[in-house]
Amino acid sequence: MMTGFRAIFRTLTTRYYRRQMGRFWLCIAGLSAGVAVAGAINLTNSRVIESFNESVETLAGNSNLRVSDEQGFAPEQLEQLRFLWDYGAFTPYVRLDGALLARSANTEADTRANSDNQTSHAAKTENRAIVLFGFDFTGASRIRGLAIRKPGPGPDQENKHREQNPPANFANGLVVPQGSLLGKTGDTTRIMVGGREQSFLIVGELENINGRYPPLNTAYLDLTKALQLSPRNRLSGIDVHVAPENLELVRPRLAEIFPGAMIQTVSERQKITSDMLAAFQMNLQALGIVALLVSAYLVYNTINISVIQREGLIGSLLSLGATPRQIFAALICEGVWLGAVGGVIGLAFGYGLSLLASREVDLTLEAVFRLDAVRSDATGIFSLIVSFGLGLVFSALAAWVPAYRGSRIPVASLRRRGRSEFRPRVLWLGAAGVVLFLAIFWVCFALAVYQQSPAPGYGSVAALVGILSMLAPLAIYLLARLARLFRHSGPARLAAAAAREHLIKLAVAVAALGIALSMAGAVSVMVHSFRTTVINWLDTTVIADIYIRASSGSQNLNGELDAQLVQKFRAHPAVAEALTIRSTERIFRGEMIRLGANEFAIAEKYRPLSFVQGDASALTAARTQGGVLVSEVFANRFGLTRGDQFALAPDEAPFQIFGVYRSYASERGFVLMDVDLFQKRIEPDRAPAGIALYLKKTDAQNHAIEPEAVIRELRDQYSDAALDMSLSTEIRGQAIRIFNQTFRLTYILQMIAGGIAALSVITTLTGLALERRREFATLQALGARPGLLDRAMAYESQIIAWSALLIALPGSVLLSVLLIHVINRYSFGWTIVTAIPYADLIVAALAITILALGAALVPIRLIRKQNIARILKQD
Amino acid sequence: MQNPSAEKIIQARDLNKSYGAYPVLRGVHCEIQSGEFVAIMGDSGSGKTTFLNLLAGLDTTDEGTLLVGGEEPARYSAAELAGYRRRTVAMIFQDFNLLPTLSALENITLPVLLRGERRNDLETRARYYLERVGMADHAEKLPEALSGGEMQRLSIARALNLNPRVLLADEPTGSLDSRNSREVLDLLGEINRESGLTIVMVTHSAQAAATAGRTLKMEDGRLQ
Repeated sequence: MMTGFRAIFRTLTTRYYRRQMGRFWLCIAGLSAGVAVAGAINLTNSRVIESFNESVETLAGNSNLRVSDEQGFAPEQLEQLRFLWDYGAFTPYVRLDGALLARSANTEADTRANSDNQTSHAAKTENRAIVLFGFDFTGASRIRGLAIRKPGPGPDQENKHREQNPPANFANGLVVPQGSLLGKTGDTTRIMVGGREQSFLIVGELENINGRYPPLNTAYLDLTKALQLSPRNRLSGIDVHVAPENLELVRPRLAEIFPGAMIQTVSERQKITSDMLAAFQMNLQALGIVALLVSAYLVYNTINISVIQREGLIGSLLSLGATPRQIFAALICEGVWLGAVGGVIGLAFGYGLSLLASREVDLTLEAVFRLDAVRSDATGIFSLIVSFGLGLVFSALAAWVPAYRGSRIPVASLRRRGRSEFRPRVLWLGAAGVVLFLAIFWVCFALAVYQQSPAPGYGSVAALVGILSMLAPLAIYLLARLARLFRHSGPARLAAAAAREHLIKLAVAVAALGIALSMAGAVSVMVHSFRTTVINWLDTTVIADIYIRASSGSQNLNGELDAQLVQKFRAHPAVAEALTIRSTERIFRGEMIRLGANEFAIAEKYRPLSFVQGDASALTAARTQGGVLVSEVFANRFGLTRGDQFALAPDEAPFQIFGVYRSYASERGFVLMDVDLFQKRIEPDRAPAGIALYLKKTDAQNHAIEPEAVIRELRDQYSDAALDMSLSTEIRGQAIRIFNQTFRLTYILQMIAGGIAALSVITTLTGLALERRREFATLQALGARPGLLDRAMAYESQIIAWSALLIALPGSVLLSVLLIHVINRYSFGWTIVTAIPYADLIVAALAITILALGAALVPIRLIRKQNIARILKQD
Repeated sequence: MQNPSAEKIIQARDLNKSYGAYPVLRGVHCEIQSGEFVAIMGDSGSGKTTFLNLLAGLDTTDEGTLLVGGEEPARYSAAELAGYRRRTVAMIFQDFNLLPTLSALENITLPVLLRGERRNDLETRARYYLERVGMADHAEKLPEALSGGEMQRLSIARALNLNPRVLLADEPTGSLDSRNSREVLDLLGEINRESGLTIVMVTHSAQAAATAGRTLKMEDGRLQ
């Protein structure tokens, strides 16, 4: 039985592809490209996740609870944690954001070596974001297994030894990860931290923390020194390690000691990581599926054409006693075999591609999350294997239909030359499919809206993809009808005839291409809409001239400004009004939210809010009636609207919502109120964390006031204060830069997906040209001009491309509407205004048209070179 | 029957053609006059289709001279051969080679359009030839709705519409039953007689060859 199958496989597949090496490699190229893209995407995803987990978990050592509060803790509070020694251990830390200004080499030789390129080197490293951690090195060994390499007793720098104790001069020095951009042991590095420039001597190199590589953009200093640098001399958090069975015992006691603090377990921290990355991953995974889908089509197309070419051979095998099941199994194995070969090559390319993409990923991580990429060599091997496995499954599935058809070839009617695939019932079946998928679409859509959940939304996306694929035969048919209108154009009529004749095969190609383009287009629309919305939002809300905030250990508004400073800023002669910003965090219905306040009376004049529900008058109403405004995320997350009331705690008086405003600054909900209400109901002593300055147009002498000049003056005047000062244009520019960096990788991957799509057009047209070689030979024998046949093939490429575009243009818009208004909304809670990038879509459509024309060159060459006499004689 | 005063439209002298080491034509020599209906008969592999392909400009000779309508296709480049096929010859095939999604009328007009000819009377001419082969009522039908004989008659109309100097027929009755074969052969004879079109037909059927005015026998690559 097995021997028989092996003989069939050898006869049917191995020998066939030995004669069809071009077809074989074309398929392998497409498959490997698909697996490579999908693998690279998976690798990128895992890289991002690991970067997060590494930074979160590595620095946390083996702690299983983290206590943190954006306001920080006073070091004296540690006294209250003595009870923890009965259950395990704890270690505090201070986190400070900083920027590397420059580093200098430690030896004369190094200095000489670097002297020529010192300027460029400094330029390279200048203003790189770094994160400083203050650790209690001596007391932290139970939780953080720090392996530090530091200079040994000898003069040779190589003579280093490893230990857990800090270096002797550690109190004022810095420990950096091995290979850090800050330098190596003995170097001096200058860092902007806490609003001040600091010089540090690097006194040791951190090899690992509990066996894990520390992120490269981090540096470690003594806890005491870090506390001094911290604007308010407070600890950022405490890592706790207790036996798992004691976790629930310890947690409530910690909550009592630190009311309002976040106390998270490892799994809770990981959930936050995955929530933060959801958008990033969704984006990438959609592209990965597109790549695999197009690759699967290549397998389908290859096996489909090869089955057509081997009809005679299959018929002979069937007549010699092979069973349809054996033929089917052999063709499925062929698909898996192609998938395996393509997959192995794809793995290698995928790894290479991910290395190329790694710079983009690193920049995104640094720009968006202030994280450094992981350095584990084993990273993503599993992701690549998953892509390989998916490639195999897709290949087997793609081979299913042609394999089934191949195994059902009627032996008695092998010479079925010239049969058209066009039947009106194909269109009717397509229409029935559309109706079926439409029903599924509406059910999923209704569920998503009813449950306010993105999960059924993905079902709607899948159903929409089904609808689009069912529309493919109709799109081809319509374009073929259109081409037939050109009665005096031979190429147009030949192309139209071919489209009808090969309707089903073309429909599969067009559906694959159309869906790939729809997904890529939808992501483009979503990114463009998001970008446009964010820019509009920034333009509406970031309207003060200068923003000042307390420089602190976090990017968020957790530092506080000195009251006298606030008064000085208000009193500055160039300042017309100043809006202070206060904020704090609270747990509401089990989720962390932020409560903020500013002077609504001033905000009413400048209206720095964009409203989803209500308008600027809501500020006045909220101020006068003691109500609040809430961010859209807050409203959506907790199912609240304008006019609703909510209480932060059961025993507290409720707040009434007077308006809902847009905010894309955070996925956490935000409740905004007038400063008087905040001080009365939330925190009376909370000082402002930031201040927004609205400048006068002219000074007393009627000279125009330039914000640049004012900020220069303020920076000079308050250089000793730990302040971050920015112009509104700088804030907007930085936000857009981060946004663009986040989605840059998407554009690159879209281009790769476009390349694979072009490959699919080539294989489709080449396959059809091979199948129709007798038709072309006949026309050539009847005197057809070669140029006109070329043109016919070019028109066919356009029928494929434009049929796909007919599906993709509405498909992109509809899919993007689902992504924006269902999946995005229910995932993150904010709404995005749909903005269609018409110019981009037109350029993409033109690019596809040109790509398809280019793809036609391959079959054109094939037809021109074919031996007419031999083909007419062969068949 | 040859007419000594008629133009010699096909002249072949010492034609040799091999595929690899296998000789297919060995010193073929023949002359066909304009307006003749010549059948070339022979067994499978005798070289008759190869000779027809040389006449059609689909293949080139290794040695010898072949003149068709005063042109020597062996000297032509691939592009010039395409021009030669447009000017001089048209073919009909054993399997008809019709385009399945085009109507009978469209099957006739398309090759003209693909020759780059722009005629106002394109459809009128096509209908004329459809009528000429007795298919006027089938103009809008698709090939799959036609019988084998009708399909071959349609392919004859397609060839006639190209206005060739020589009509080359490759086993035109090979896929037909005897009644349809008879009808197609009668039609070819009628066209030859009425329009004086030179027809060269390759067949292995003695009955088909009998319809032609002259029969040449091909045996092991030699014409007798």
